[in-house]
This record gives sequence, C-alpha cells and structure tokens, in this order.
Amino acid sequence: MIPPILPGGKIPLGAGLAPFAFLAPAMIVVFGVLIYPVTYAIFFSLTDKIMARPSYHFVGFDNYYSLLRDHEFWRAFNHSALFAVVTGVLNLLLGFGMAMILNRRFRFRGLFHCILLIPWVVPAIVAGLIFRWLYNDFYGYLNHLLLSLHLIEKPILFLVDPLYVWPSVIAANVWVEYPFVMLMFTAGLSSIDPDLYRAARTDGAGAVQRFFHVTLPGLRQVIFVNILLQIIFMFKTFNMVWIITQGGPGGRTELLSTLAFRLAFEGTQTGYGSAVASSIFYMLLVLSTVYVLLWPRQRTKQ
Amino acid sequence: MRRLDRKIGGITSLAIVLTLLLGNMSALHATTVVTFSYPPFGYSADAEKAFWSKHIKEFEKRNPDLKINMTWESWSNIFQKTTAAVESGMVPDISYNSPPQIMPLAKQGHIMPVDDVIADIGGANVFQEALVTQFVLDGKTYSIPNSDANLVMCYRKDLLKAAGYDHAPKTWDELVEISKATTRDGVYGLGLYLGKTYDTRQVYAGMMWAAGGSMLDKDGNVALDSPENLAALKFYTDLYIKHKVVPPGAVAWKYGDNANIIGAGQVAMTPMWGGYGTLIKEMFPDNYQNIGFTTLPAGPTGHSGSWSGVGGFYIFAKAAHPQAAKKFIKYMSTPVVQKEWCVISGNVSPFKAIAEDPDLTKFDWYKAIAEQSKSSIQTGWVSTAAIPGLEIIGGQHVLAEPIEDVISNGMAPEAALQKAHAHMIEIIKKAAGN
Repeated sequence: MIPPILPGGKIPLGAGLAPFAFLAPAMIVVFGVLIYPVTYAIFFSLTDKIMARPSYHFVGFDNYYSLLRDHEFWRAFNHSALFAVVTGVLNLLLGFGMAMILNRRFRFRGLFHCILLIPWVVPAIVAGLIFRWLYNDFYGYLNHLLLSLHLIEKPILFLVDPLYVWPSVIAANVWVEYPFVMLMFTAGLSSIDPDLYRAARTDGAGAVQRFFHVTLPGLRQVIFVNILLQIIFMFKTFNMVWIITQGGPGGRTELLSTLAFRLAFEGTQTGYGSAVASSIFYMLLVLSTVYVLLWPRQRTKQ
Repeated sequence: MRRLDRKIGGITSLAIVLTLLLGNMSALHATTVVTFSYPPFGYSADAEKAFWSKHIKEFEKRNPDLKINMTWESWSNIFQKTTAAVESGMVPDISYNSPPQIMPLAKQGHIMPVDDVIADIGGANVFQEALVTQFVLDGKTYSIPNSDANLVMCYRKDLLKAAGYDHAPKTWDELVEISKATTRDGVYGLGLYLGKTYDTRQVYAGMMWAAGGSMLDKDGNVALDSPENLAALKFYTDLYIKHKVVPPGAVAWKYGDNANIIGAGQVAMTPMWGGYGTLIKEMFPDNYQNIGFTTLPAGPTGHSGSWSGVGGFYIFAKAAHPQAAKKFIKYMSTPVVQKEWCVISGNVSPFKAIAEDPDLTKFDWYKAIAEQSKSSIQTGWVSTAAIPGLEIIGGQHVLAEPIEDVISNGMAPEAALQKAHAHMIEIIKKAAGN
C-alpha cells in the first residue's frame, strides 16, 4: 500500500515501513559481516593488541606512525599500486577485445562465450594451484612445453627469477579476472542500438569511425565502471598472489593485502596488522567515494 | 460437550505425565559431551580419521556416560581460533597444539595445570624429559605430550649408489661431498627450502643447534647473532650459493614440494618430516624402495640438530567437563593406543618406554625420527612461556629471514643475521610491553 503523503511531501511516521522491512535482512547481514568487523579492525589498529593476549592498550595512531616508517609497508604499497594499474589495464584491454570479438556473429559464439568465462568461475585456490603447477621448474607444463619446442635450453624459474615473477603473477591474475570485464563489455555492447550502426553505415562511416563515434560513446558508462572496479578489485587482490608466491621471493610480490595477512594472522600481531588492513580500507574508501560522486555525472552525460 | 472437555483434560494430563516420565528417564541416561578441538598431522588423513574414530568409539563404549565431540582444525589457524574462543569464553574442553602456542595461554591462566594427569599416567619421568620441560611454567605442567614430529634426512638410495655412496651423509662435510657428487644430469644433490617458510626456519634451527647455537641463551636472552648461528647460516646458504647443490626453484617451494621432488628423483636428499614415511608407498608406488630415512648430519658440535614438533593435549581452565576430559586424555595415552598412534601420526612417542619399541623401529622412517628426537629443539629447551612473543617469532618466520635475505636479497650473512636478531628483540620487547 502506498503511504499517504503529507503536505510538503513528507511521509508520516510509521507509514511506509515495508521497504525497511524488506531491506532489514540485507542490512543486518551487511552490518554483521562488514560494518562490525571493519569497525573492529579499525579499533584494533589503534591498540597494541597481540593475538595471544586478551589485554591490550589504546595507542592512538602509533601503529600508523610506525607504518609510515616501515620499509615493508611502502614496498607493499608500491607493489599494490603497480599491480592494480598493470593488471587493471590488461584486464580492460583483453576483456574489451574479447567482448568485441564475441559481439560479432559467428558459429558457436555461445560456446566460445561459455568457455571464455570458465577462468572467472574457477575458485581462486584452484586457479592458483594450476598456475603454481604450470610455472614449476621441475614438472611445470609451461617449461615442459618451452623445452620440447626447443625455445629454451633450461627451465625458466618463473616464481624465483625477479625478471619473471611479476609477469607470472600478473598473467595468472589476468587469466582469472578478465572474463568479468569481458562480460560487462559484452552487456554494454549488446545495449547499443543497432540502428546507430546502420545509420552510420548509411552515412558512409567506416569501421574505425563507427568504433570511435558509436561504440566508444555507447560504452562510456561501462568503461567508467570497469576502470574503477578494476582498480578497486586489483588493489585488494589477495588469494591468487598468496597461493602462487606468498609475497615472495624475498618480498618481491608482497602486496598490502598479503602483508596484512602475514602480520595479523601468521604473525598474530593483531594491532599492527589491522593498521595495514585498515589502510587498504581507507584507500579503497577514497576510490569508492570517487565512484559514487562521479557515477551520476556519467549517467547524465549518457 | 462436558464429556469432550473431560476427554481433552484426560489426554492432556496423560501427555504431561508421560512427558515428565520420559524427561526423567532421559535424565537418567544423560551423557556428558566432551568437546575436543584437534589439528590433524595430515600425512594420511583417512588413516588418522579412522584412528580417532575407532578410539573415540572405544572410549565411549567403556564410558557410556561420556561422549567425545571432536572438531578437526587446521594447524595454520588453530591458534587464531583458540584465542578467539578464549576471548569469547566459549572454549572446548580439550585442545591440542605445540608449546609456543600453548604456553602463552598457560601464562595468562586460560588453561589448567595437568600434573595430576601426568602423575596418573606414571609421572613426568615416563616422558622424554625435553618434551615435558617445554610445557612447564612455575613448576606446573600444562600439557600432556602426545607426539613428537621430527625433521630427518630423506634420501634416494639409487641416486647415492649411482654416485658411489652406500650411505647417507653423517657429517656436514660429507653432506657437501655427497650433495656435490649427486648433483648431475639435471638432478640436484640437496632439496633445501630457501624462502620465508616454516620448513626453512625449522631446518635452519636444527643447523643452529648442530653448530652449537640456539635462538636463546640459557638465560632466555636473544642469541641469534652468535658465531655458532652465523656458521650455521653460512653453511646453509653456501649449499645454494657456493656449492650449487640446491635447485634454484627451491626459493619458491612450499610445504610438501620437497617430498614430491625427491619422489620424482630430481633431488638426491632433503630434510623432511619423518612422518612422510607413513605415506611413501602410497605416494611413490614405483620408487618407495629407493627412498630411505636417517638422521640429519652432525654439525661442528659432533651431534646433529633438528626441529621438534612436540604436540600435546591441554585442558582449558573454563572447560565444562575437566574430569571427563582428563579421563579421555589418559585413555589416549595408554601404551597400546600410543603405539598405534605413532604409526598413524608418523611421530615419535613422547613415552620413553614406547619411543624405541622394536615394533616401531622396524620402520626405517620411525627409527630415524626416534634417533633424531634426541637432538631436536624448538627454542633451545627453554619453556616458551618464559619468553613473550615466541609465537609471533614463529608465525613471522623470523628464523627464515636471514636465509631469505642472503639468498634472495643479496645481503651478507652477518648483516642478515644482525637484522633478524634485531627483529626478534623488537618483537619480544613489544610483546613484553603488552
């Protein structure tokens, strides 16, 4: 039932409770699994809490001051930022390219679509173990293939050699993550009115002109959403990197997320580890705010 | 209508009487449920589950008023779960872990002394002394040792024989010699962990002990930068850098990788948990007869050193059923169960009378761990409750840091050890102030 509206557009108190009732379960879940633990983590980041001891003291921003002087934190921050940008860009390019191909009409298109989505639905633990096996120098399939094709003389140390370790980790992440981008772009492409292409063709526009004047403007919203989501998703990546390298060798692939886990859970330094985890949260909060602020403008432009 | 009311009244009264009677009957048969949180050793999960299931059933048969509710945990997060349980006040009756995780709980009064259980089992003297010592705080014992896991040397008899050796290395010098001789045709002599992992720090701790060093001195002070520990670090890292007998890929090895690689014949030797001996036939049906186990080679002190993974039962101070919990632990500590447990868990019995039982030492993997157990250390035999933060030092793999810094970050061994020494002091200082 639609609640009566009072003069001035106000809804009377007690009326229209139905939306709140429907939203309540979701809000309870969000509070229980997100707001409460995040608040707790932020609280712990202001203490000297160690897992083995129930007693702790409030230390203000000491943990954050320590982070600013911590070489490992800055190294992990740089790695996270670089990883987010490189992996994000590769995901966007590959996802967009694949979506463009799948947008054409050809036989078995649906089948290819399904196959290309498989990496995304594979659990991260499985994907991580697959790549650890692929990269292994003794029994890894990649080295076996390269050796049998006589492209290399001895196995490449994909997870040890500083030259290869980042590309190896990034390639694994792109393999898992790009299908999501592809899916978003595929949906975006299918929403562009075909009449626009027909009209452009009638006006003599070539493929390049159609791409720049019809496809790209039609995908503006999707591109915007994808860029922001990719930066956010990649910045908080944990599973794949942890499974493949655990941040090694020698901390070369340590991300903020793996450092937080290492300190808070393996190292049981709840206070200091929470400060690292909370710093990731603050950074992502800024990015999410940008998204929330800019999103309406993008919609208006569209 | 009145008749119907009477009928309803009668039926209701009968139902109430029956309910009360049944309630009382079930109260007569009320069982005490003992909760037990346990992390499996995991060499053969099926065998381990079958073992616990069989003995829990047997215990319940002998004690019809008791029921054991066992939950399986992971070694990697049982400590985190336990501390969360302590904070929430909802603890199980019994849990199982190693000294660095148990003793901080003892120091804070979260677990109860179990000297009465130890006395009932036969007294502290029936156990290997070093294993009990780690559970003692202020004259009270807080855990009943149950098993002792040990790193030993696993070697390929065929590869050593092909290189002209009929025995595994007995000294560090021999280790270098045989490793060099077996490093050929794509095979490496020694599989050694080189990253920041449990295995790295545990093997290095053993080498420190074999070199005469330790993490702590006899007064409990950090002694990581001692000349003995430096000698061990140089020996460890030289095997990779100078002698080139360790596969370069070992930098990225994770737990279990060395077992697969020695099984495939790609390394000739590797320090490995002796418990893998229980699985060797299953893992390598074509090669298991070529795989042998022996003690780790002796260092400059003349004795070898290994990592002791002693595990024990403990009872929470807030346990709902401490007496029933003690009864179960005593049952699991009986000689028959203990002997069977050694073969399933792949560990040495902490009981002197069983540790070297011929029924067990007939397996070469068991013989190796039983022998190695005598020179295994965890923190240099100091009660882990005495030093705050040892669980953090273990969790952060501080002992593996100097190895990683030398191998992967190009640091000099002296500087790498100094760095780890300072890190360890910093952690203890922070933990002490908490």
